[in-house]
Amino acid sequence: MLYVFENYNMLINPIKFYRPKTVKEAAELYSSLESVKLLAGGTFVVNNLKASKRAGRKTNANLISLKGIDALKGLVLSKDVLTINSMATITEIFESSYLKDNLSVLKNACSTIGTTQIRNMATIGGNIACRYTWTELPAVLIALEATLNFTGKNNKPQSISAEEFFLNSAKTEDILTSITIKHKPGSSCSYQRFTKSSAIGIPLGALCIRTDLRSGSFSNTKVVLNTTNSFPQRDRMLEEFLNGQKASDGVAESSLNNIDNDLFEKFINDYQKHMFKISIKNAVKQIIKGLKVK
Amino acid sequence: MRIKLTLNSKQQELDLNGNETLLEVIRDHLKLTGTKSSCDEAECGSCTVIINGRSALSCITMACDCDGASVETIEGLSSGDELHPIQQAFLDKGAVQCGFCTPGMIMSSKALLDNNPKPSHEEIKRSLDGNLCRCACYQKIFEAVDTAAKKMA
Ligand SMILES: Cc1cc2nc3c(=O)[nH]c(=O)nc-3n(C[C@H](O)[C@H](O)[C@H](O)COP(=O)(O)OP(=O)(O)OC[C@H]3O[C@@H](n4cnc5c(N)ncnc54)[C@H](O)[C@@H]3O)c2cc1C
Repeated sequence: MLYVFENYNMLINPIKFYRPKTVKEAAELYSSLESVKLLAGGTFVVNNLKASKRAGRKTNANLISLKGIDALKGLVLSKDVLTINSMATITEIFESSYLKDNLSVLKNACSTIGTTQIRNMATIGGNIACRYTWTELPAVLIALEATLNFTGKNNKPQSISAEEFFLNSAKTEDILTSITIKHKPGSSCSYQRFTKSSAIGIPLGALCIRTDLRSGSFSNTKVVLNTTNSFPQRDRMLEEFLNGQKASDGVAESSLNNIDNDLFEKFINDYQKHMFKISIKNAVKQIIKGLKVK
Repeated sequence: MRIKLTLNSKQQELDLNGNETLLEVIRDHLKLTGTKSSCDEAECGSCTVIINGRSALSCITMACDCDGASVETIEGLSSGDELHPIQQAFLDKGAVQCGFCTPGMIMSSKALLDNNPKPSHEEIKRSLDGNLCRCACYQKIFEAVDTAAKKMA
């Protein structure tokens, strides 16, 4: 039996829905349509479409879902490079057996995002491309030196580093197709986030530290802060301090005297500042503990 | 836009306008009102259904995006008068007060047990982290899921 739906008082304004099967088709649609929005897991987009209608705001006339594109799904490990296709969900990433060594920090970050249903629906592509300052994977991807791969409206592929994507507001018009990260067995990582309470909640701040401790000292360290009110940024002062430090318990404490105050001051309240300091200590301690366990 | 999906093991063909959420389609059009509409902004979990084996929020799922999908709602669980073991366990354990969150709780629990038949207490709690119960029946709900898991083993 075929059910035909009448367009009565729906929660979303009338919209034309497209479900291309290839990236090429999606790119062509994206470049040819006016007032168009890409749809991935929908955890932001659908909520926003409803909120806009409630508020009496105009909404996009066209929606292109990326869900029908098989090439954008799943994770692939090939030699020492992990490719996470942009429609991989947070749950799929969390459950992936590829997340070892430096990549295991992604598992950790994915485990605390939203709720089970949100993790089942939300994609890594949406988490990055939404460009909300508080989403969590950008800081981790910058620390892991990830590369973001796009297909432009002209169907041309292009890649930039995760760091550049956020610093320069680049690639706002393109389709994010995948994220590539090098698997570095010697690397240690820690991701720390803090929320208002222990219940489900979006973070008030987060921090990701990645370093190489194989020589017994910190080297090639990346410290990325997510103050949640601006895009994640590297704390180069702390990186400089940590590089060359021996992996001893005192490093966690002295790290606090070497943070970039300009960045630190972006945290707006005392609770955030306090929790951020605790997070730094915990991250450094976790990395050193990991070394001792090995 | 015409889509085909499997709803509670039955093939359905729908001719949609494009702006319908899955929740609107299953409640308002197909009259499967077991799935509840509550916060309508992805926070409470009362609209939870199972899509392709995973719990998902029907209030933020575009119906057109379910083309080719398998969707399960609370109506698909019992067979005739015989309740699904999870439904029975919720009754037996008194895990229901006002009952508004119950269909969502049960669908999240089913998705868990389908994927992980022997969950730990922590795994049960985690899989229900997106389902709010304003009557605060959580303890009994966790017990009911544990009981159902044992019965289904
Ligand atoms: C209740 C709730 C709790 C949440 N908790 C957390 C949390 O704890 N931590 C956290 O980090 N996030 C959280 N989120 C946000 C969630 O992670 C993001 O909503 C999610 O990752 C976005 O992915 P999506 O696939 O749903 O994106 P969508 O909503 O589909 O899209 C988001 C944006 O990205 C664009 N987009 C999507 N994919 C692409 C692509 N491939 N190329 C180009 N543009 C694209 C869309 O056009 C849109 O502008 C929460 C959201 C909700 C509703």
